[in-house]
Amino acid sequence: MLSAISRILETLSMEEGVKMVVLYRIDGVPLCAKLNVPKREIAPTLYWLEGQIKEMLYQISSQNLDEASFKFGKTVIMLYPVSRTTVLGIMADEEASSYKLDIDIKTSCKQLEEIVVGQ
Amino acid sequence: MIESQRIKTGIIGLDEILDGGFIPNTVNVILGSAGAGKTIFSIQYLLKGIEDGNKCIFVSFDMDEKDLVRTTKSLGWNEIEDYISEGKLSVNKFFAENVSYVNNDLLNLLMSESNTKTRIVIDSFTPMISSLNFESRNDVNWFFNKLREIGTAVITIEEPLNGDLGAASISLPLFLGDCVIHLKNIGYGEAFGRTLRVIKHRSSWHAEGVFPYKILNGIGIYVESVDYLKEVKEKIDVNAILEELGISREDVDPKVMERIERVATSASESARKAIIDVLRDSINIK
Repeated sequence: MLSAISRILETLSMEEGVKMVVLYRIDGVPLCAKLNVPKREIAPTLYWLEGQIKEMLYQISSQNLDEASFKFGKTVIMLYPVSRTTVLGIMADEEASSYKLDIDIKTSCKQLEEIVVGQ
Repeated sequence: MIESQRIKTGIIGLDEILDGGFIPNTVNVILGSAGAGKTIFSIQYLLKGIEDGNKCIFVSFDMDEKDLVRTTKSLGWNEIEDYISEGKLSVNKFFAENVSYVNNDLLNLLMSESNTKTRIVIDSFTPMISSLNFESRNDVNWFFNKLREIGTAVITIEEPLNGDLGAASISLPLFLGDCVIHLKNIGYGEAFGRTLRVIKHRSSWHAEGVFPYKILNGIGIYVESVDYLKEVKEKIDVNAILEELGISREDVDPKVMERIERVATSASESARKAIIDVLRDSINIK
């Protein structure tokens, strides 16, 4: 299962402009991560993100949102709920093709859901 | 460390995460909230010990022999009664209000029943040290040293439901234990509803990250790790890295090469990058 998740995240992380892909549990624990930039560059954002997951997932669920996103300068962070207990976080350059990335993310979320819920 | 020198945990999938198992004569702490599976972990550890011919001692403040038999039978481990009657497993219930970590009865019992390959479980250790403060660090360390003399111990620590690990009764065993394993159950089901993470493993490599686990009838705790660790490990090929960098093995200091080979056997995803950096650094120094 971990191998399959790792492969899905790796494929997504190869998209142009993607800096980081992390599957979080709702309590903020990173379950699997793929980073394309040195961790020290994005560590503060990562720590901030871990603290937001629980609240963001609550907001996403209670308001029936498909996603939530944040913008830090030229970097965008997108959160997509995968299941009741997991959320996918993607950090990408603002210039990354949002349409293509959105489709790829949704495909990945579906694949991840099958693994996480199906097990 | 040679794998045969390790103490197999009895938990399927965990020995791979711990690089072979627990180190002999250590105190291993299992941290988890109610329902995480600490008692099941403890029993599995003892059952493996009995299978391996070790003397096993179970100390509890909640469960007596009857309770233990009932719990184990509910998981399908019917052989436990035989092990108790054959003297392979000693089950001892103490009353928390009468016991402190320096309790002579407990230490005498452990010492009298142990041999050189004893597996000890204290489930849970929390009632014994719930009233302690940080100044008691040396006393807890003394008790842990006694346990280390007797054998290889697993002690369980109850994690408060609010997740606050700051109290001395929780953080002291975490500081002083040789290995700390955190069992987490968020209670919403799904694959990552239950996860295991090794917080530390002194004098040993251990896999980083969280690993999902299940509690299965007949098996107990099952941790999914083997395929993932194998896959990550297979990614590191020192010869291919040397070739990629255009470096010959002979160009590298043998001591550095030894360290690189050691890193390569680890299952760390950043090991490959570390090897490249070390090799570049080593050649530059030369």
